[in-house]
Amino acid sequence: MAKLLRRRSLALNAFKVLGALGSLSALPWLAARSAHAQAVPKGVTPSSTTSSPVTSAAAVADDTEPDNASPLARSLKAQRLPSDGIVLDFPRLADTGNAVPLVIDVQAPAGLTVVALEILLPENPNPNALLLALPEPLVSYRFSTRLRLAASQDAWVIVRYSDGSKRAAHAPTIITSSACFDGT
Amino acid sequence: MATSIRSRLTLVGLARPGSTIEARWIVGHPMETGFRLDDGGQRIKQNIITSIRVRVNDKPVLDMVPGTGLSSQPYFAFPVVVPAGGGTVTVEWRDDRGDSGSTQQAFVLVP
Repeated sequence: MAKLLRRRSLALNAFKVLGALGSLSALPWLAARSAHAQAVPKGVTPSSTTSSPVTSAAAVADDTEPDNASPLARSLKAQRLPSDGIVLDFPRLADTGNAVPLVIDVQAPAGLTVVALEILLPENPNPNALLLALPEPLVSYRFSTRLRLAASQDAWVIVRYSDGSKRAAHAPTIITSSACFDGT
Repeated sequence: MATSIRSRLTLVGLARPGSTIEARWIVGHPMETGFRLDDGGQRIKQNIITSIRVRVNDKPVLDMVPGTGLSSQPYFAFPVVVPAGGGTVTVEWRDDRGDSGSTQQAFVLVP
């Protein structure tokens, strides 16, 4: 029993660590957002004497998420983690969000191994879908599971390697009927 | 705690010592998110698996902490390395109501 409790607390600790990482990564998002909020009035307030407002507005629009994107989605995007070596197989149109298959194929960079994986669904009420830790790290990892999605969104996969570096990949999908809240 | 929830573990591929094969595990767990309301408008209590541990011959190879973002009857496919002398793969799970269970499958070694 004590053994099981210890195992459980280990797993919970792992989640806490990732949670802390997540809260740290929210800061760049805040910064990015306030910069954006300032940039828009700047671009709009000058009268139509120059054409610069249009171009600057376009530049801003180019670099931002849709307005309904969650803070987590924005912060993940803002981190600009490289996605090399991570291939996601995820349906572009899933129809119902109850069981959307996701296949993750990870190939670690030369000399490194895969230590942990995290699947995040930023638009879900609880974005933490799955946290994986590999006590015996492997060079390549192919993992599949079925996700429950509350809304159309990008599914994010964050991979941690043996040297502590992180990489992340995301794949979009469209849901016509939401899971989590109703139905099955 | 005894449970009526069943799970199934399948090992796919030729189990040559040292090779990596795929293990597939499915468990008939409701994975109730805790966000849904029943017909009376009452919130349905959350019931999700909180930890899954995979071991090969008692050596841990994979620890998973699921959240509510997994489908009901969750399914996982993951690689396992076949040990030189063969052995068994064990998957143990535990949920937030204290239910738990485990499944075992032996490698059928191919010379």
